[in-house]
Amino acid sequence: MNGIDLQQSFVELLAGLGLTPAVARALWMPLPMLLVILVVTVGALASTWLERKISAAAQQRIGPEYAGPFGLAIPAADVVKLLIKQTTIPAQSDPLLFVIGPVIVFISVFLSFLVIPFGQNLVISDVGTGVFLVIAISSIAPIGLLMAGYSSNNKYSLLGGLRAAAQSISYEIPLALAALAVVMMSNNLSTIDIVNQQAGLGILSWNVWRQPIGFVIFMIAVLAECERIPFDLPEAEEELVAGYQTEYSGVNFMLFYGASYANLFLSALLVAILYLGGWELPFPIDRVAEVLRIPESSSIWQIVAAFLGITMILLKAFAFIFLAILLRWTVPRVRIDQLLDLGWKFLLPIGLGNLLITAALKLAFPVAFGG
Amino acid sequence: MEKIAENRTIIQYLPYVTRWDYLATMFTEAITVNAPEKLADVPVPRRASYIRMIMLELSRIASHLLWLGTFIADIGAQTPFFYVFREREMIYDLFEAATGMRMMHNYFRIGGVAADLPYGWLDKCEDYCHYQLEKVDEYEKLITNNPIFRKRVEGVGKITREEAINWGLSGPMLRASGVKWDLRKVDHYELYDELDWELQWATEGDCLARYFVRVREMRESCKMVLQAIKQIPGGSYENLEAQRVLGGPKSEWNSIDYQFISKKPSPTFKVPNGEHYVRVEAPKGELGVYLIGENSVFPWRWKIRPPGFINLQVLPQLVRGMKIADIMAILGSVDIIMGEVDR
Amino acid sequence: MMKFLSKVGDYAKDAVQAAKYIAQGMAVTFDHMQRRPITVRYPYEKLIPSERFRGRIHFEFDKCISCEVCVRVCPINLPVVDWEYNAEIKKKELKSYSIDFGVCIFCGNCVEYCPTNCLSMTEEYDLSTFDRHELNFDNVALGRLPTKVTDDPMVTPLRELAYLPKGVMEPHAVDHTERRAGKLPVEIIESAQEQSES
Repeated sequence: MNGIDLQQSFVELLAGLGLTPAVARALWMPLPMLLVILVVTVGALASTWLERKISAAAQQRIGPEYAGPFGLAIPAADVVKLLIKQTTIPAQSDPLLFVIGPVIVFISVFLSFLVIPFGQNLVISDVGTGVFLVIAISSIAPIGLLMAGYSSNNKYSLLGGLRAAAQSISYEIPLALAALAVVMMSNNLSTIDIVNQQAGLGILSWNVWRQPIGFVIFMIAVLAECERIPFDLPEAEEELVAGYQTEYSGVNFMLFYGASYANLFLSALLVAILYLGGWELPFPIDRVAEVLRIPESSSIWQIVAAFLGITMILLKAFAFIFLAILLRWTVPRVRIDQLLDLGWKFLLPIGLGNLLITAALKLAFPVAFGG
Repeated sequence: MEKIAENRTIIQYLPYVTRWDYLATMFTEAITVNAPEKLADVPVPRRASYIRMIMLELSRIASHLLWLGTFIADIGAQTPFFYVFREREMIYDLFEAATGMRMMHNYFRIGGVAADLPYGWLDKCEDYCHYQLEKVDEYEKLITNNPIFRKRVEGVGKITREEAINWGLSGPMLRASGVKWDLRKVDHYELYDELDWELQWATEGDCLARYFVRVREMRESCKMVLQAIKQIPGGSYENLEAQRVLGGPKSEWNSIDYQFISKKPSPTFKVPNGEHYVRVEAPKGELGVYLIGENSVFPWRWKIRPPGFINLQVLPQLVRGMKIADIMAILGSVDIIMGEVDR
Repeated sequence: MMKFLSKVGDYAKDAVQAAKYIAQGMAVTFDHMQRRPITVRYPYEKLIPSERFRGRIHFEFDKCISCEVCVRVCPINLPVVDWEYNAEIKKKELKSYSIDFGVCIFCGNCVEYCPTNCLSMTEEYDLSTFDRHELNFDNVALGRLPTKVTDDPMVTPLRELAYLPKGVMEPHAVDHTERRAGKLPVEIIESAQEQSES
């Protein structure tokens, strides 16, 4: 299974125009980055729109209606509004940290998309340490939140920042443990290999069936990482005004806001990749090609397959986002000590147990659990 | 508010009182007319009393609904807030049809109510009560057993029976601590004795118990309104009118029992000599007025005992040693309205 | 060992229970997604104010006898009644009458106690102006009638709960011209007479 290699064809195209392969490769480099930034931004904006529409529907309201068809222009209007708003920096704050904070959060989230594959070759870089990289980079975000909380010189902000740090650190561990179990089965940290290892039998070969406990742990931990209800303690508006965001406005606020939704999108994609078979269809697509007698290497088939793959991974990701949004509008918020209890006393031991069981099963049934 | 009362006639003062507790407006009006009514021994027709009870219980449901929404929103779930507003809107639609305003009704009068119910009103009220009973079940499905909700409120903000009595708490705060005390049962005012209803109470004394008491009270109030609709003398307004026409000028349907007001109070209604304390069971607790009259159009003293103010006193000792997040849950479960706390 | 296992079992049972109840809650919110929004889209749809709605006050100049009862029952003695005693006809002659709706709380006491019914409440509730002094209505402005919601071609009128047919809980579900709940007294009389005849 190769899939189309866009880079290869692009380089060949330019080489045909008389450029040296090195220049052609250099010209290729910014393209996927731009594309991914675009996709992530659109994904995050779509999530905000979905949030509004789904919350409205769950509350028997209409939600955005007149801004564009079905209010689709609302996220764009949001961005424009926040861009042209004045950014205020509180007089008693630490201006440097105050500005750097949101930037760090924003960049760290966007950086994680480096290793998120949308198809066999639709990834910026197939790093060997894929999942590890995502987990490592996402640990940077709490530093930004802490900076923001500290530099605002506001007790609510500080409390929010501290809560964010505590929460991120505690939930990083079950998150990593759950991912580790998946990695153990695929013998590889690379996101692409993890997906490929789930191919073959369609929906039956997805990791959800082999890692049900890990799946649940990962979902809970990822929700906590995204700071969404029921785990949105850092910005609990009834208690802490808006947590670390209290003093932010304009562009700086937009960075936080955008990062939080980009983070949700990232988490949804991670869930799709690690547990729901990434871009794999619920039925093995190769068999379909065989039945239809289409040669797997024909370019049209390749394009159709890649298109289906992108659709599938986005569908899975947005299914998770839908679930997260519905959950947000259904349940109350947990208390900080209960949150940490859940992280350390429930998810951590279960995560460890899950890892042990996975290892044992791997030794016992190498066929089913990736020997 | 108390000083304003001292230089207004009761008629002039009535529009003000809905601003005390602007979520249970009917109760403030009820106490404002009950106080001079009892002092001057003004009779209240049975029909008027039934209309009052229906209005009071609807108002209680509205108040508890809003409490439920804000309480859950304080804990972090926003959605029930919209659900309760959907139902509360219906109560206010009913109020608007009967009284002319959604919140500031100015509907109760000394000796009855301002006007009879409009035609078709009782039918829709019945519709509403059945609808509301269904919806309460839905809220319970959404909230009651939610593990996060349970963890946030169970055992939080505990008040023992003795503490509750010593702090002078009233209403659901008191009943949730295991005291069977409801002024509707204790004082026998209006015609609550003619309805078949049960006092709702719990013994735990924590936020969850208060939640249960209020939710059950909502159900109970719905049932009381349904009974009152069946038992109201003369039935619906349209029926009463028809019977009056059929019965002619001397029919029994013109007797005092079937009037909505005994006698329209004159603008110079005098508060007679004497002093007394009158109270009603408002959704938040005991709402009372201590009235001193000196046979003039203005009351000499008009002391208000608002339930929210007195229930709020217990907050500092409840939150001692708790987490910040618990303050929200406890304050939410106390159910205060700043309009009557700082009146 | 058995103790530990039973503890793990309890733990698992609790977790499953919790998941079940959260799923139950989500079923409720999910079910709401297919229900019709109850929103009244205000400028395009408007609720018809009830018959007893206490909106802006209407005043009939010719009916007024300048008795000033409205002033005496008003919580803040708001209406300004400017009259002069006419010795020829031995009557008070009204010169002007005004109410400041920036101050009025629409309690309706003046309407209730007016002996000649020269005051009445209209269904007008949107009184916003750019200058608060514009809210001080004199007897000419008080004599104007508001436009009805049902007459406005730009607006879809919706009825409030009390005016919907029996069993209907939502204004969107029926047209506003459909009959509301309850019979008219006339109809009850007719049916009663028919019954007694048969």
